[in-house]
Amino acid sequence: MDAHTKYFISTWAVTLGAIVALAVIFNVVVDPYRLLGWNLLEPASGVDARLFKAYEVMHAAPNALILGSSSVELGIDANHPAWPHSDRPIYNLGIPAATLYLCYRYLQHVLFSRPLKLVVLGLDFESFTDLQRNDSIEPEVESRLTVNRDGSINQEQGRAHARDLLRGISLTELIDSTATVVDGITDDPNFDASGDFVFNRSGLGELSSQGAMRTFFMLDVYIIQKAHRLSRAGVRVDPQVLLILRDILHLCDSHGTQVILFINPVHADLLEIWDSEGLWTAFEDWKRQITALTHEYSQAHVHSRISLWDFSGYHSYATEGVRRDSRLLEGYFDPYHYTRTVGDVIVRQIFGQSGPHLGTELTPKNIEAHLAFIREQQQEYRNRQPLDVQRARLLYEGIVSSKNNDKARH
Amino acid sequence: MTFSSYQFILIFVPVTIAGFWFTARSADRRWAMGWLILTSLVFCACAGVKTLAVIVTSVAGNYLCARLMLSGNSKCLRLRAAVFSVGVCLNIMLLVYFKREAAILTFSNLVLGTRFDLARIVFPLGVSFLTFQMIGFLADIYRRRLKEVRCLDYLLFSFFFPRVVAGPIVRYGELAPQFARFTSRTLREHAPVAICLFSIGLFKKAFIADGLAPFVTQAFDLMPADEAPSAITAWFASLAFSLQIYFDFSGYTDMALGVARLFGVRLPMNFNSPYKAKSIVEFWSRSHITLTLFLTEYVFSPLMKYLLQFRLSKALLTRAPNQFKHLLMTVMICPAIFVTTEVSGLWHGISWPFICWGTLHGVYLAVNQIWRALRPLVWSDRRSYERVMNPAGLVLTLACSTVALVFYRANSVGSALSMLSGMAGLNGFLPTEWALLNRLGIDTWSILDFQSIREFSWIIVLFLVVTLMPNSMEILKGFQPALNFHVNPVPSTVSMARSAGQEAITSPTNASPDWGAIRFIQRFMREGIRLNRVTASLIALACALGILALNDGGNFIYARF
Repeated sequence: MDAHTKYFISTWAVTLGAIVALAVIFNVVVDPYRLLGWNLLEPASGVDARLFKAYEVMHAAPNALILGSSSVELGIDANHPAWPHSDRPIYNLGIPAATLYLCYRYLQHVLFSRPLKLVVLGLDFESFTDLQRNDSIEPEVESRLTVNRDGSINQEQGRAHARDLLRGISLTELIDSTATVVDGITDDPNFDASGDFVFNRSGLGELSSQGAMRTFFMLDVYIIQKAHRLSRAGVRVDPQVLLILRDILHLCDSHGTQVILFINPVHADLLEIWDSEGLWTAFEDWKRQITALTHEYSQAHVHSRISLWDFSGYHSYATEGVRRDSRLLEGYFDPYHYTRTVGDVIVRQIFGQSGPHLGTELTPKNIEAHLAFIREQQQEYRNRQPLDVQRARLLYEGIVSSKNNDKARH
Repeated sequence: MTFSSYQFILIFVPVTIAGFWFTARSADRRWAMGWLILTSLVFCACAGVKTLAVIVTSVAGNYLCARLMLSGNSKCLRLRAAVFSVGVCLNIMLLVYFKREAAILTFSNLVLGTRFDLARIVFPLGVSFLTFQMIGFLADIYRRRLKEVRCLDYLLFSFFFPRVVAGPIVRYGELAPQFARFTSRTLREHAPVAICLFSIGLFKKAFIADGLAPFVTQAFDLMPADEAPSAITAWFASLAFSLQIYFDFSGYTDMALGVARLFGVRLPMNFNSPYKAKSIVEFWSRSHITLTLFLTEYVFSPLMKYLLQFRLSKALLTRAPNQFKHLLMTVMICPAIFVTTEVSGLWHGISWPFICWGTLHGVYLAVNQIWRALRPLVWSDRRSYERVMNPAGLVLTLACSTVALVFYRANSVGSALSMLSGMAGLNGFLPTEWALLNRLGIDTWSILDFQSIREFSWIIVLFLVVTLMPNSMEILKGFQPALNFHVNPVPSTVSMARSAGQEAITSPTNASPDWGAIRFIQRFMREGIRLNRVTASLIALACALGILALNDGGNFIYARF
């Protein structure tokens, strides 16, 4: 081999090896998915929660779990003083766009390794409808969990763990590691050790600078499109999801775990859109069905400890108006996601602490009265804040008419 | 196992190189050939037993046909023609069967009551490329271009793993003589160029093409069926796909050329910056070059000769005024153009979207050819024409190819038409939400977030790269990176840059203080890269980024053909 070729190949090989090795070392040190368990830095907001929470929840060794979607992840504070001391530490296993089946599988994953005293599960109406696949999750996510759906040990887990470790030589992990370091330095949003999504000062500042109108608008458009599809598909509560809820109750009962279910509070914009799209009846029926299910389950299993709360009314935070000059609402980031202010009220109320009350504990006895009360609140809201109602309706009509035009073209 | 996988890069290639290095030391080159045949069979087997079985069957069948044609008995012209026809038919039947396997098995289940599991249908890797390669091989024997076929050469020509996944379509006569040059020095002589080609290809595929895939999937696959995309969304998605397929296929081609070059084998050039083309005719000569050459030789040219030999054609051509003869002849060969582009479409897939893609390209080519014949009559000043049409042709060709690619990418003709209606502005220029924002009194542009701006800028940058920058062949022009590679006259954009540079040097008023940089650019444009330490480090960086991006990627787009 002549010297020229030798120099070229050796330079190439050394440079390549050095770059890849540096990337791997950086990823191992930062450990943005907490695969290795050290918490030097908190994962950046952009890191895949499905991935890192599957590992971190094991390192956190919690006595209580908070389960649900991104609403729960953003809104509920696992470190709030109102949580009973006996149930701590608490881990927030809220995952963006989580279906009830995903919550069930992650609960199985944790309960297989350690007993839990309490599970708090936030429920969303849309995740009970049959618009999406509710009985499966991505195979990659499944393979990471300790047990299979039938409760048997997952033989694939070791391989999945090795695959996740191999991500150490990936650009995605390099980007996540960099984001984790940058967010740590710049005080941007990230996840804390209990799984809570933390909006730090700069994160809130950025959200505030965008203005509430813009954020609400973006989500309203999404909600309208989704509601329109739901309505066209003939919305109904998917019996399969009710069975999954039953499985969750059964799993907790068999492990002696107390369960608190609550319906996530949503902004009045979202309720108005659902009503405009004719989903209100289905929304109320859903509440009736889960109330009946939890009651029946409690009756049949006398040792089970289950309670169900509804926070999805027209309370003072939900009816806060969105104005053109609004920076950030007190109770909501957008129509789906409530702030810690609302989350703290929820935690205080379900643990019987004093303070403002936003919701009601549902039982078969009070459900009809409760639903009627929300309808009254709705009417009051419409009379009191016609401009806010008009804004939501205007958006709704604009999107729906454009949808109808598209459909006509098809 | 694809080129852009850890198994290939970290296990398969090192093992193959080690074995080749060991076997090539022997004076008998058959050891090295045998080793490469063995590793190629392993490569095929990794794609599935079905792939291996199909390839082995096809290779054996074609060898039998070749032997029959080459044997003494085949001096009888009829027998020779019959064997050739049977061979070609069997190859085409094999291709059609796998292209339509799903339809055939569904029909069988319905009519004959069979119970084939349709979910388990697997399209054998690279069968379309192999079939055309074999047809070309038989045709070369039939036309007596090949007088002798050696078994070992034939086996390596057929199985050679660098070209199995997605070509290029090679000729026996191009590869076999190169196998004779395997020596113990092969690896060290060719390794630097091979490394450059493979690293550039890996970077293009894993870092760029796979990075574009999410935008494309979002618009083409995840958009609800009843949703009509706005002009901006549709163009953004279509242009992103144009770039994705460009970097995916050119990345694959570079990697294939690089892997083959490790063993001293130069594969033919297959991709030459099609988005620099200033007409559709030029586009076809730059994109998927080996397929275009195959179709030109075996479909277009015979059909054209056939059409022009009709008595009516001859009579018309004889009587037409001289200035219209070329135009008339062009019009007469239009059916041949259409058939050729349709064959190309069907080769990609026997489905309506590919038929539409072929038809559209047929229309483009016919219009382009007619215009070329008509242009001297209506716009005789060639210089002014080129001044206008060089930039306009580039944009027009890019737009036409992007429109046709919508059919290529869409899952059905319906969704392609929906996307095209969006591109035509029938669903409004901006997404519905943006228009509504205005009604609410919010600044439309305020909803553009950093990510949207970054994605948009990335698309712009990539288009500048593919239209202005030299491609991998031009970068490595000093090392004859591919067969049939000719250093093209420097593209206009490049020559403009060069002349600007020369002007800066010669004109004292425009003197630039950075002489070294200008000289470097000039030399780079003229000679390509030099294999020094700086180049090695840059190539290593590209390779490292490609390796780090591997986790995020999928298979090559052309691997499904």
